Parts: sequence; structure tokens; C-alpha cells
Amino acid sequence: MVKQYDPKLMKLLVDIIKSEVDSIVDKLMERFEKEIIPYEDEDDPAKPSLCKEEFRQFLKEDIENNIKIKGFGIEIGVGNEEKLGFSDDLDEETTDCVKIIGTIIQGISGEYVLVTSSMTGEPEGRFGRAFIMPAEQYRFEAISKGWDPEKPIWKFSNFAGVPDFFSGLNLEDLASNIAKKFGEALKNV
Amino acid sequence: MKKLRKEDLSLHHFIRFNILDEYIETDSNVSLQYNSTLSTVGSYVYESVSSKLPLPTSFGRGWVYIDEYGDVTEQQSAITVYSGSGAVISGSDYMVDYIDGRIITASDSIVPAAVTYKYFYVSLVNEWEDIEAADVPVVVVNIESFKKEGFQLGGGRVVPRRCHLHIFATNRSERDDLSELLYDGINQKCCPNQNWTKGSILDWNGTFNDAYIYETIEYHSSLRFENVVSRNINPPLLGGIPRKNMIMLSDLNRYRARIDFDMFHWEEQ
Repeated sequence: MVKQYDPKLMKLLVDIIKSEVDSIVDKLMERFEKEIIPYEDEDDPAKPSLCKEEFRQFLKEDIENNIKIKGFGIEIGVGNEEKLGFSDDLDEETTDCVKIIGTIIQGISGEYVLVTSSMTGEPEGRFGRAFIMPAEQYRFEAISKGWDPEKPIWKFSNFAGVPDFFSGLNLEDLASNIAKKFGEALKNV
Repeated sequence: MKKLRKEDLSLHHFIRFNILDEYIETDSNVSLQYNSTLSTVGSYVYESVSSKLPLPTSFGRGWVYIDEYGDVTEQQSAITVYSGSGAVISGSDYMVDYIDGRIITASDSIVPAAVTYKYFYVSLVNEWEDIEAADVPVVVVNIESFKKEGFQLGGGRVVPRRCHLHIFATNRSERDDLSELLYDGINQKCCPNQNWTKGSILDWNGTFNDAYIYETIEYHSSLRFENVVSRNINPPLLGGIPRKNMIMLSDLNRYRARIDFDMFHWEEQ
């Protein structure tokens, strides 16, 4: 006999998981602190530590929007593929900070210069937003575009990335919290 | 040699000859140039001068040294050396440096003039730092982490290792071909966990190691691959480059993919 799960109970479980999103985000932010921050350049005006809060917010919204009931289980997704670069198509509606961190997580081979909207002095939009350029290309373009020709190489150049950033999280304590809350909630149903 | 190194070598060998064998190319009638600096009395060195790009002897490539995956003896059909008159020189009259693409003779009476050889079109490297030196297409093999876990009952343990293949290609089609080939090549497959007791197949100087023997590690299973996931990589900061008013130089990060997988084996002791 196939077991039928009450949609109301599944909805209750989703709500409980949503109330625990902060603890998933905390674990990812711990990883961010440990595996990305130590490699940043203190003098970089676009260093990842300045993006911490924005990245946390991105993760929170992303996880909240990706808790889905699938069959008899619940799937929690994290890491918007199109904004972080795990995809063929890039989502243009993203921010400098998410782009910077997404690129660091993927890793980049070779020497690059980070060009930010504040540097180009251009209006916001495709041209104005942050991007990286091969160092050789940057030097070639800098004079004609009025950018700083001495801009240092981005510290995350030739960085192998953190390919397992979103996987292998230990969520045992989270699962036990959720089970506990769910048990309590069932008493009131 | 530690176990991790042996597994790394086994995985490399498997990828090189069992998966990427489709990417073995032939370079025909390539001139050989005498190198007086490297030559000594009794060792005359001739270097190949290839016009192929990427260079067959660039980092992570080299000439093909066995005929088939599983062979334990030096290739018999991958390399043919010709004299100035176009006659084939017997394989017993020279040695081959497979890494640097050189022919070495013991006598100055044998003068090789040209060579036809098979080579690895795809560069296979271990370090992220080596990608730039290798020229695309490049595959980076990265074994990241491991833990050794005991079985719940009885002795022995399972050793899982987290691995990644980073693919850098020249264009979209090549990236898609390479990632699908590599994915199919390892997904739910296994490869021998070789012991390499007499060293790897090539010696430090690029010549064939005649002492090489094929043997697997006793009381260890083969290396199995699971949880294989392939995805294209498109670093978001590269997406914002204003291409319209710029002459773009080449960018090796443009066509990338990554394959994540777990490699594991069981040990009986």
C-alpha cells in the first residue's frame, strides 16, 4: 500500500524548516569566513568581507525560495545557479557582491584585474557593473578608458575555488531541531 | 609511494588511456633537429619540430607510449622514425623521450630525420597553477579530501575521496564533448587500483620504464566512482565584460565545466 502524506503536514514541515534557515546560512557563512576571507587583499576596495551581509541575505532568500515538497520528501536547494555561475546562462539581475563571491567559489585560472562600477565611472547597467579582465587585456584598455593603469592584480586570480562550498554540510543538529519542533507541532494538530 | 599517490596515478592512467583515447591525434612526418647541447658521446638527441597547436609536447601532453589501455610493454605502432632517405629506422636503434618529444640514438651512424607519432591532444594536469602553462584544452584532476571509515561489522574499512575534474576548452562544443565523454567514462565505472611497485610507466627522463609491472594492491578493491555530477561553469564576473567596444584577447576561463565525483575503495585490513 502506498502511504499518503497529508499536504497540511508537509506544509507545516516546510514552515518549520523555513524557521531554521538561519542556521543553514550560519554554517555556510562559517565556511565563507574560513575558506574565502583569509585569501582576500586587505587593501581591495571590493574585498569579499565587505560583501558578507549581502551574501548572507542572498543565501537566506535563496534557501527560503528553494524549499520544495518533492514526492514524500522535502528538498532544500541552495546556491542560485544562474547568479553564482553554475550555469550556461548568467542572470544579469545580480549584484557585484554575488558576482564576486560566485566567481571566487568557481575559481579562476590566470591573472585578472577586477573592474568595479565605481572605477569605470559609467552608469549602472551591463557596462557599469563589476567584471574581471585578463591582466594583459586590462593594461591594453586602461589608457583609452581612463582607468588606473597600475591597478593591482585581483587577489583571487589563479584561485582554485571552493567547489564543495554548498555540499557536505553537517546538518545533523538542524535535523534534530526540526524533528523536535515537528513533534511539538503535531501535538497541536 | 603512499596510497593517495598510487590512486592518483591509477586515476590518471585510466582517464588518459581509457576515456580520453578518443583525443589521441597523429602528427605525421615531423622534422627532427639534432640538439648538440643535450647530446654526448654515445647519446645523440634529436628533437621534433612540430607546427601543431597546442604543441604536442606542451605541459600535460606528450607522445603516446603504450598501444592500448592495459598494455605493460612499450608501444609498437604509435611512433615511426624515418631516415633522411625516408627508410623506416628500427625501434631497437633508438630510445624515445615521450614527454619532450625526442629521439635518442646510441650511434652517430644512425641519423633520424623525421618522425610520425601519436600524441595526447588534451592536456591532463594535477595542479590549478599548471593550467596556464598547458594551453587549452586542459583537464585538471583534483583529489580533494578523504576520510577512512571502518565497517560496522568486522575488520576493514572504506576509503572515500572527493574528486573534481576541471575542464577548460577552446569552444563550447569542445567543452560539451569533453564533459560528456568524461562523465560517461567515470559514472558508475571502476578502474584498477594499481600498486606501481616498480614506478610509473614513464621514467623521470621521459623514457619507457622497462621495469614497470602491472599489479593491483592486495586486499584492496578497485577504485569505484559514484555521485558523479557534471556542470558547466560560467564565472559571473566574466559575464560583464563589455565586448562591443573592445578587441577581446583569449580567455581560457570562457568555456569551462566541472565534474564532481566520489572515488572510493574497500580495504580488507
